[in-house]
Amino acid sequence: MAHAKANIGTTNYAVSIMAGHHQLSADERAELGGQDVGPAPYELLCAALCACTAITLRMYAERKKWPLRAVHVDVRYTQEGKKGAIARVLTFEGELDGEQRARLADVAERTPVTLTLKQGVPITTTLWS
Amino acid sequence: MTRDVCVDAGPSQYLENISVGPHALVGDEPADAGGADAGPNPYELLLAALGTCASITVRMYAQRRQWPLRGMRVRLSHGKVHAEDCAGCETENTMIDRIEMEISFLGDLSEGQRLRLLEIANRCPVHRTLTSRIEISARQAPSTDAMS
Repeated sequence: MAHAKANIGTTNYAVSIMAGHHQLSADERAELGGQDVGPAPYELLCAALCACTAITLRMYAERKKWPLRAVHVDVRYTQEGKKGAIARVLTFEGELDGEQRARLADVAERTPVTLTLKQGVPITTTLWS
Repeated sequence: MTRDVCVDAGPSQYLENISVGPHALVGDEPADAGGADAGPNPYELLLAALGTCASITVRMYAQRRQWPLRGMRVRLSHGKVHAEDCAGCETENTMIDRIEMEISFLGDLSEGQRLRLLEIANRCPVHRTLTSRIEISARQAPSTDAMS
């Protein structure tokens, strides 16, 4: 179960967020009328995917006792018309053979946030006063 | 244009450094999942993306119409629930994701305006992305150990 809260006031477009009990700020960049005090919404989406990928691969390598020293994940979101796409690049550090690297890349395809994004998730919205 | 987001996860359990243009974030898992809770976990970041997008989109909409929206609060939660046609099933693969979002608007708005803003929040870009299926392509970067 995950929780977050977002508040926006009248300063364009600064949003203060509590993600779990961690404080974050989000905004739009100047060309969209914001002040870039934090990442924009799609950048947070990319961050969620990056974080999930890195953590899941680390958990997996640990269980297998593979010598994975570090994982770098680079995620790019692009949109053409209404269709969005995400490209993810993985880099592994450590004495891993080709098969282990291929296996990690395969596991990346099934991390929880990857599946949520690929499958779509229902969202219910209600007014609270 | 969304800037690229890079994550580096080193040997410390499961803390990652996330960089987005000039912004640095830290992600982690809570202690009960083996982390040190130095930052939000991945699903909390995902909810943050949705809550932020809804807030900004509604604010832009209200501004264009010069509606007196003073502020907006969004509470979000993510959980796994049983698929509706499988209530009572206990196997893991019947669980589906669900996100719930509760919104309150501050300001002297009519009931009609509040309902319209709720509708706009439900049509923000990240909402569309999450409720549809998005393609994720992956590749491994060439090599590795040469990198610091």
